[in-house]
Amino acid sequence: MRKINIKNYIQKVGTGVSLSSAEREKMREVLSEYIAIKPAVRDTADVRHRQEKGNFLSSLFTITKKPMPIALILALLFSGSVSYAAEGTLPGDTLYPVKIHVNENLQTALALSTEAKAALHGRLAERRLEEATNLAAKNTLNADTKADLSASFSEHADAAVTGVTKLSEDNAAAAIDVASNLETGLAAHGTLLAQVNNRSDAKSKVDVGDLVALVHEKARLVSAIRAHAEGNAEVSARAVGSASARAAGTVNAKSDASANADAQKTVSVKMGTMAKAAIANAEKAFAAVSVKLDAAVAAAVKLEISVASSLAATGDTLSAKGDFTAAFHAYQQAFVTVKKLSVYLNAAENTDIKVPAILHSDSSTEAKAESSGESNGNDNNDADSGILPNSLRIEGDASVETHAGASVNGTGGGASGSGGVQIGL
Amino acid sequence: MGVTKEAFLKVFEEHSDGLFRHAFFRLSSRDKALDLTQDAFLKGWEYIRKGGDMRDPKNFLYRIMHNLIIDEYRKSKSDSLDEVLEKAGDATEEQFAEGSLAEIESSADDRMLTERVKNAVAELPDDYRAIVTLRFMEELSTKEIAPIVGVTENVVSVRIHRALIKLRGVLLAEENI
Repeated sequence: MRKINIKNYIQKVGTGVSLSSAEREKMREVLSEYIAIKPAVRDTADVRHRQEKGNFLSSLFTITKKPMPIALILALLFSGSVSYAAEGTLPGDTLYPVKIHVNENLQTALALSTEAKAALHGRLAERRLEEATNLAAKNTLNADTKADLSASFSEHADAAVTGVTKLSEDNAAAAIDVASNLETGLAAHGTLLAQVNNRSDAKSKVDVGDLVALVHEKARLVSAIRAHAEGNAEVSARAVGSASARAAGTVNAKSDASANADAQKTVSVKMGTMAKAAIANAEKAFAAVSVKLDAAVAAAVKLEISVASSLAATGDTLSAKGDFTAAFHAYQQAFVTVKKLSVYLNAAENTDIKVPAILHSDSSTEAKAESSGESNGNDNNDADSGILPNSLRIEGDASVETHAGASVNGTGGGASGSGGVQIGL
Repeated sequence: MGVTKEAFLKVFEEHSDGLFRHAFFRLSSRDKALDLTQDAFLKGWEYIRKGGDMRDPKNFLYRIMHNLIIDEYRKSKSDSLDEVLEKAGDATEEQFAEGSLAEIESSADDRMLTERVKNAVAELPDDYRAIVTLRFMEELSTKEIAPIVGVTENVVSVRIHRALIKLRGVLLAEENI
């Protein structure tokens, strides 16, 4: 039998494998480019943010002093790593056009269903607000960029609204999910933007008050559609009341009621799934940023997450008992709580915005925004941006019993609709 | 002091091949290995730019790569074994098609044995494969390997020993057919 030295052969196997020089060169270029747009944090102040206009190919040509080789441009276009690198960019960054024109267009093309499209536009609308907030927090937002971001935000928000409106006719559960998500996201981003806008330390500040107003306007619109969809699915307090009144009053109403129960179950289950995913997201966002938070804030955030978790558990219990309307509301509040938290935590990770400041300013800023939209408050569909108070509000009909869902939010019943889920600690 | 762009690009020149090779043998896919190598350096820079330290670049990068590979396994758990082996076959052919003169110089017998060792390595459990490739291809010491894969130095030694026994067993079994 031959004695073989396996170690030598393993080494030999390895020596045949290496990057080709073209592969190495391409990788090096991408890395070098990435480092240029994401310099070490201490150097950030020295980096001048350029505003690139026009199509992104031309901007790729102009980002370095020398023209970029075609091969590199192709590599940039088709490399997953560059798409990944582009994801975190802001207006003015070299790869930002890749994010907008390649990544997002690709995502839009890949979103086929109405639900996926609406959700995507909602997400992109939120993204524009994130970008505006990040730039404003760094004092690098200029008037042109703000105008571009506002226009893009508006466009995506409108596309999301159109999608949700369409959905609310034939898939109420999906419409409610997308709308709840967007409405909460908009409210949270609006709060953040307003907070950044009110900071006194800004040097060359561009006022974003008009963008904040636009955000609240869109939020109210989404809220109205959501309330409508909830009415369709018979999960709003008012609709449930009238459904049970019908069930008591007529024989035919029985089949009606069981169809309602099915619809309520679907809506509730879907909201439950979304709430649980959002809780997991919030936990992840918290883990990412927890080192930046001081102990008291971290504890407060943990508390919020645990409140959401127990609300979701309450939802499960109610669901098991067959009370899908109440379960829906528990899930919805769980979702709203952690979705807002996630927006805040993400902002805290990417900017110097302090979480406690956000949490403290939360209720007051929102209350103001909502009371301003509250003048014609008697109209059922003119809902302001407060998910729970609206759905739980008892609208004139004294016979409607406040169902179990109301117990998760003791503040909801007032005619003034104090608005804003209680995220304050 | 943090790491400068130039210093990091130098680290890239020094370690990109090794990281790529390591990923290639762990994943049996040239494409995935390319992606992960790129990602490892982007992630490495992300860490550094936020003030992270890179005292030992080799250890630092291989640890990132190890984690990326574990993530990749989780993602593609659903891939059938056949598919994985097929991909490995393709990658092998591709690799050898690109050819190295060293191979041509060596005897056919030697080439066959190299090929068999390569296949045997590919069939090792990943825990073993990770350590064997780090130890014998990248020539890292057991002390260096331990923190990368997150086990003690002693466990590394034991795994190397067992992996070699396994490989020898596989090769001898073929020899005796």
